[in-house]
Amino acid sequence: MRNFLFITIALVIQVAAISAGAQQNPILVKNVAETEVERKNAQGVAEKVRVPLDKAVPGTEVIYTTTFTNNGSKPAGNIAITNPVPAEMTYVGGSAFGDGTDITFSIDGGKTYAAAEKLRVKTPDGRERAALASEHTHIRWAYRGELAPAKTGSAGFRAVIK
Amino acid sequence: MLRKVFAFCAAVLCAAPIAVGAAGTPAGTVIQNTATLTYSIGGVPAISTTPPASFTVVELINVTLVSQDAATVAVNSPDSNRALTFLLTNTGNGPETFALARNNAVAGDNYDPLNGSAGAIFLENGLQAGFQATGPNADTLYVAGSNDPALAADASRIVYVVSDTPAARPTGDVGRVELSAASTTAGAAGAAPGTTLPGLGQGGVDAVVGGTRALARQAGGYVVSGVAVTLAKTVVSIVDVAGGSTVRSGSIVTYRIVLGVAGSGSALGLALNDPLPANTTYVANSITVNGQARTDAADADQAEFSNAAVKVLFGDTAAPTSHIVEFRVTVN
Repeated sequence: MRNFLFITIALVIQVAAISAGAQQNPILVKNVAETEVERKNAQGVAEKVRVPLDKAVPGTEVIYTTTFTNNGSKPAGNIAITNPVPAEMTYVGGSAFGDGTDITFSIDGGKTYAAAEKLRVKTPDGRERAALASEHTHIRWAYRGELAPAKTGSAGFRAVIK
Repeated sequence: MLRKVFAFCAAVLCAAPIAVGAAGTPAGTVIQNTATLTYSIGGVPAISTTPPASFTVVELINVTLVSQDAATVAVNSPDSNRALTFLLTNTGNGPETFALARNNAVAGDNYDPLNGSAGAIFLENGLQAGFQATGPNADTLYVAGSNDPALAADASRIVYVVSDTPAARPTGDVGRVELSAASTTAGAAGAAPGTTLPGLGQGGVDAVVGGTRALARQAGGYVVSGVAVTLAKTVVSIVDVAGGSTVRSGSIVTYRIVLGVAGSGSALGLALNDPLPANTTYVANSITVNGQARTDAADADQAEFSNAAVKVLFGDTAAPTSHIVEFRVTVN
């Protein structure tokens, strides 16, 4: 009888915590690091499979994917995702993805953003050149329109461990 | 001005937050990534951050050996303690220790060099560039399992393979030695690239065998070289009886012979024998060797004048070197 009471109290507390969280953050966000490995499927054909990554050697290409789900009851607007390229990694040019998003990049630590082809770097001799993918420090995805309740979006990029 | 300097330093520090060497991100580094989401609901802005996606960089074991000799090293036959020079580099991303070994029986050469009488392998001790077998800057004798070189990621060490050369090898014979450097991490050396060794990396992370198979091999070679003896005879001065410099009866002519020993190795029993030119008379006791006067008698000094010829005995002479012999004659 006493045990049962404790369990009940614990359940109530947990439910309360979840609902409080949902009210504060109706958008649930997740970020995963994965890598692609080649495996043979049942037919013996090699195919690329994404697997979660918890350890890796330098040179590994990592795929970061951020997913965002509207768990609230109202649509969410002005959604923007900002993700820094880790300092120990190099962005893979052209790899940023995100359905229904406009993607811009920063080469100044996230102060300013522009489309990849518009980023310019000043060289020591005073000229300008196009920025390299390896110089991208941050990526921003601006989600077009609103995210309706119960809908999920995703955005991500690939980078190689230096 | 001082403030400017400080500001500059701060900027440099900020610009280089992470030192990533050529060998890559250091083993054991935890790489984290947190995305930030901004949005608004009903006109109220909000912000949300993801839990970090993180993973650990494991240790990649890689090593290279590069010969530092521009060409095969010239030796005599016999010879002793001649060094081949290699650069050992830890091209992995964690500290690693390497066991060294030499193979004297490399196929395709003319002879097998012998382990040096002073020692087979030496490690540069950093005091004086180049191999020193003895003396205050003598390099460190390598003892397998005792002082295996431990190198940080990207670090290098000069290694000398020191050899004796057997006797009676003809000029032009080549003897090759292969040096190998093997990671001492258990199971790493020679394993297939990508082999994972759980927990054997820096700080207990996994170790992964890299493209070099954690094992480097590099050969270097010796060539038995001859010596080239060169001889150049010139007239240094002519003094005639009138104090001029014309050649006539009674003029004193000073000859200079430069004897060069070039190449590599030793000229054995090197001797000069220069018969007097016709119609000249030798000036007694006029021979000098490298500026030092010599007597004409066949005695302890190396020079003599006999049978109308100037003779100087140098004996076994190691290349490269040169000697200058001068003597005087009068014109008959």
